Amino acid sequence: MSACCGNCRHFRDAAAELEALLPGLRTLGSAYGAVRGSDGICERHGRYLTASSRCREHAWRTPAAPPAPR
Amino acid sequence: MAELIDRSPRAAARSSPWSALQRTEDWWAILIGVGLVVLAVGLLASGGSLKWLAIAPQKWSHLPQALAQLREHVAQYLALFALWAVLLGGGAYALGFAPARFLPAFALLYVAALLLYFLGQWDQAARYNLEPPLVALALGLLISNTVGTPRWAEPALRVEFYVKTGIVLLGASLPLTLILWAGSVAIVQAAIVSLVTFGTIYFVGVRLGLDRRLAATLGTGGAVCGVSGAIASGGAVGAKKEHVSVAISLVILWAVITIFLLPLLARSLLLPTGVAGAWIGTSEFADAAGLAAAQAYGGYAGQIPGISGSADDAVNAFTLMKVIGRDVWIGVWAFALSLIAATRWEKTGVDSGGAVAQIWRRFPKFVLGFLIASLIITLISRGYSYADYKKLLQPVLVAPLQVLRVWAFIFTFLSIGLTTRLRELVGGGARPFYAFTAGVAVNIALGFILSTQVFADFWARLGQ
Repeated sequence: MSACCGNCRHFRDAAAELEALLPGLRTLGSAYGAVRGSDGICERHGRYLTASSRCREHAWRTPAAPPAPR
Repeated sequence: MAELIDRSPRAAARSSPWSALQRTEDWWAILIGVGLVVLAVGLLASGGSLKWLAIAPQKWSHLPQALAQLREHVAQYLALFALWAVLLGGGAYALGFAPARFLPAFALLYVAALLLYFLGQWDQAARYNLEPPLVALALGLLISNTVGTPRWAEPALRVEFYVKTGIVLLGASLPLTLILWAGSVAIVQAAIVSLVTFGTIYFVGVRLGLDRRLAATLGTGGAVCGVSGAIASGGAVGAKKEHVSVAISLVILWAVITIFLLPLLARSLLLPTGVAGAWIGTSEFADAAGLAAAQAYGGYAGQIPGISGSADDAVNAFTLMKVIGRDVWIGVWAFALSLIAATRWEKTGVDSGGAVAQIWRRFPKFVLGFLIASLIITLISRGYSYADYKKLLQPVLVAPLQVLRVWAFIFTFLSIGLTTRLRELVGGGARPFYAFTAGVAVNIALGFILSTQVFADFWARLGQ
């Protein structure tokens, strides 16, 4: 597993949380739809990103070392 | 407190594409919609029908008649509530909504939908412009923006879940041959309008000094599929969070305005229902909003002298235009924009990549349910002549599914109004508003020309 937004502690991708963070999203859209994929909000950069995005400020969601490659 | 990664097998399962699909509304809309179609076919094969369960109010003139209808069929309305509560409640539970919170809220929504359905069957409803979709929206907007929607009612206000379920059910009343025949025209018309609308919003936005990622997010929201388009392209290009919010707000603002505007304009021109449906499908920004407008206009059929076509023509033309013509291409738009953003635009410090896999990942999967429902009914009706289909199959198999579809759409329309807070839609700034509005003007004008002039004969003949 490589470092990307999907496993970064700055990344918010839970559907309910996204709908709270983006007012109006559930009015004519949804965070639970297939179209969103696994996109979420990076609190570090203030951007809406795909889970596969990467940057130099990645921080693992756990304080432990990243898992060994399979 | 540190967050921990869940390494359990369940967590591993959660990360697979299949399990990811199961956590989407699209999956549950397919399961519910296609499940109901299969149930209807199964009942037909055993000599039964969904008719008893798929109850709908009939035309009435005086209030006592309506009350008598309600009393006579109260058991059926309760049974229908139980069916929806189990199906939609089950789906909502799988998506993470607690049944104890969803079900009371849904009960309120069901009662409101029942009253609106009855209102729509009043024989004077068209005379007073009391089309259920418009009344549902106006009522919801009024409540949401005055006294406020009660927080406990919010779990049941799932616009997209209901509209996707309704569209899957709609597939049962559209033969696959018609979808294939009309789909190509819808794709051509939608491609012209989408490209021109996106180009207008993007280039006006950039000329006004907007960030390219914001201009692209606005452009996709206006040109492809509204809020879904905005979040798909926003994620693909790595837009700022507040820019995604601006795009969502502008889409909602104009979508709500055009729900009322487009049927009004089409009515003043006495457009055939199929033509009006195609125009709405070309120029509305969101599926749910467009269906409200198309169903409202379809309600004029047979009520307003001079408007030809059937009520279903408006909804069918809208769906072909919007879903087949526009929605299914969102993954392609997102992929193309992500490539351009990664290679041509200024760097943001984040590498969002441009994976081709997102074409499928972002595909609105509920469309597959729509096609499956259509395929099932097309195969079942293959051995019937048109006259026999109308006489033998339509009333016991297709009509009950159409009634269930109308229920799903009424839940949708109520939910739109009750979740729209107008004060949340302002504050995005003047320049994004001007750029988006330029696209709206071009979109509506071009959609009108293509639907009423270039392809008018095609859309007018849709139901024949």
